[in-house]
Amino acid sequence: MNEERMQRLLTLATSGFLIVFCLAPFVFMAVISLSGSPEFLSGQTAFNATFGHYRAIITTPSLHFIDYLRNSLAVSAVSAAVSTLIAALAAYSLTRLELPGRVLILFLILCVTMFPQISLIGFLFKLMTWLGWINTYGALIFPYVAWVLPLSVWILVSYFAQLPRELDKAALIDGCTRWQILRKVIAPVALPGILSTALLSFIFAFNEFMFALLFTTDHRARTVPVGIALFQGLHGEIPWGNIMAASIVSIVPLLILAVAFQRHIIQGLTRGAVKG
Amino acid sequence: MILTLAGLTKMFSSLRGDILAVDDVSLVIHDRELFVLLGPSGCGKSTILNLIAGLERPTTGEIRFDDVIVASGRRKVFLSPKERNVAMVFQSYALYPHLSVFENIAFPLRIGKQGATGVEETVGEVAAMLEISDLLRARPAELSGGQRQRVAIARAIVRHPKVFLLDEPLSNLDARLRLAMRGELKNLQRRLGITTVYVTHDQVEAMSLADRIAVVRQGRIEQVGTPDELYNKPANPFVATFIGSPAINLLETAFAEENGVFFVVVGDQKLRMPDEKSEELRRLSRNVCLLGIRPEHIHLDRLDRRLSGQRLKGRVRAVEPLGRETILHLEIDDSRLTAMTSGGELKQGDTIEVDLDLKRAHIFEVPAQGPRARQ
Repeated sequence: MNEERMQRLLTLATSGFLIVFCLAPFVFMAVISLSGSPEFLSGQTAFNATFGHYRAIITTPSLHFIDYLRNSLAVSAVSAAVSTLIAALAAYSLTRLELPGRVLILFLILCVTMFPQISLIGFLFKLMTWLGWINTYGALIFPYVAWVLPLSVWILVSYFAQLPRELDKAALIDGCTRWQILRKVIAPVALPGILSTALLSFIFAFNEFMFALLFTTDHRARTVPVGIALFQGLHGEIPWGNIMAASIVSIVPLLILAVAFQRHIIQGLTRGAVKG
Repeated sequence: MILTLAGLTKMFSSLRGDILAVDDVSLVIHDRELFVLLGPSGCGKSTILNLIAGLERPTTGEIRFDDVIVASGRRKVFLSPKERNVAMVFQSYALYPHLSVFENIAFPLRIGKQGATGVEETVGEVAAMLEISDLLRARPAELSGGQRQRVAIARAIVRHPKVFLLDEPLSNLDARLRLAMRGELKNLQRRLGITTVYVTHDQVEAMSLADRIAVVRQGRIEQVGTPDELYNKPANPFVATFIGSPAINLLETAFAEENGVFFVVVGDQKLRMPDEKSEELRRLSRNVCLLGIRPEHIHLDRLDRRLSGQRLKGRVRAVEPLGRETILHLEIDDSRLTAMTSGGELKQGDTIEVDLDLKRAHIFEVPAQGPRARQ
């Protein structure tokens, strides 16, 4: 066996292992969500396929799954949009304007990320109660934006820093204001970075559990992760079929986003990887 | 438009301390002139250009466009590049990568809010002028270096600026293209009649393009003049060495006066200076001078017959044949000289007789810390 074949075989084996390792839970989820009998887990009964769970979560009003999904999408989209916008503005000023203490600001932003989420939750709960925001979108969007901002700012700062300064100079000479430079030159050129930052923020907000658990009380603001966790059967049993079906359905929006922006994201992530 | 810089200073503050990038620069650039700022890299010439453009604020001093003060350190006046109506071409071209060539050229017009029909027409005209009409729909990434350069120039001239600024526009092009673009740029500048400031570190480029040149070193202007003046009457050893290729020979020589006649010592040999140089030598403070002799003003026996009768014995250290002429590295006792001749009969190690054309020599005061110009 020559070296080249060996190499190819090893590459195939490793990537095969990784794919199985990462995707096995999803396959498991998919199988259970399609399985007709809750006893499937015990392995005693035969597998009989059904779309019943999917139909149940979508059509049963008392499960509120569609509400959760809508809440999740709205909260995540707004959080991603707001945080990316603020991060882009911050990154532009941090990389392009003569700010005193630039490095200090960046360092402080990094420090903010070092607080564990749990350490803030008591204060945030009091704040949200005082604002009367409990069980509203605002109670989630507000902390989500604050929580992903440091990371977004850092990603975009390293991205913007790579764009040549002469672009800004050329735009200034061509008569742009600072705002126009950001909107007409920097933002379009940095689009891959901005999109991947937005997607990361979206994924964070979509996955977030703890804030969502504490700041929401019912289907009017509750998001998918909490909603699924609190699914309950009629007599207190765990409805595995419904849980797995809901999990599979909630993957779909992320899948669509990832596929839609695939080209941009790969470019953005690898570029970020090279520098910073 | 007449461009005036008066006592311009720019200080950059960094963690490592303050850097004086531009040090008390005063210049008057005439209407329709092609003015070149020439200097080694890091000398502050690009900073001067940025100050004129309005990309940097002067620390002190004043910039005037005709009679309008566009920037003043003392009076806190500062007009933006837009208000000054300047155009600039960058070394990296700085084209907008996300826009087509057409949109790149149209960008200043769109920002300036010109009607859509006017834009198409104006862009078409400028593109035709620069012969890039067939590239209008391409993206900058698809273009060659020379084509990008043309697009950058088109974008700069499309809105008829008052001042045209070029920052090393040709240094990213290959040698042949650079030569062609040099001629084209000069023609274009003549045709448009826009006051132009051109920054370069390439003395050949400066000499061939400029109406006048300012030689810049360490933020200061060493000399301003026409290419001819700079070549034939350099104000100091720095200008003398910076202009001309191969570089001028600078010899630190002792001189003495005997009965009103001056002699200089080259190597171990004594040479009589022509009478017209006496005045210059008499003005020096010490009995040492820097003698500047251009390589083409050194004549060699057997190759040239124009010898003045004062010959030096020398040896050929190295020969660089360039085709039309040959550069010879000579050694006269312990002094080293570069000479240029049209023939190629000499070989390394030959002993020759050398005649310095002292009538055309330049005499400079020896700087306090010794000659530092040779780099």
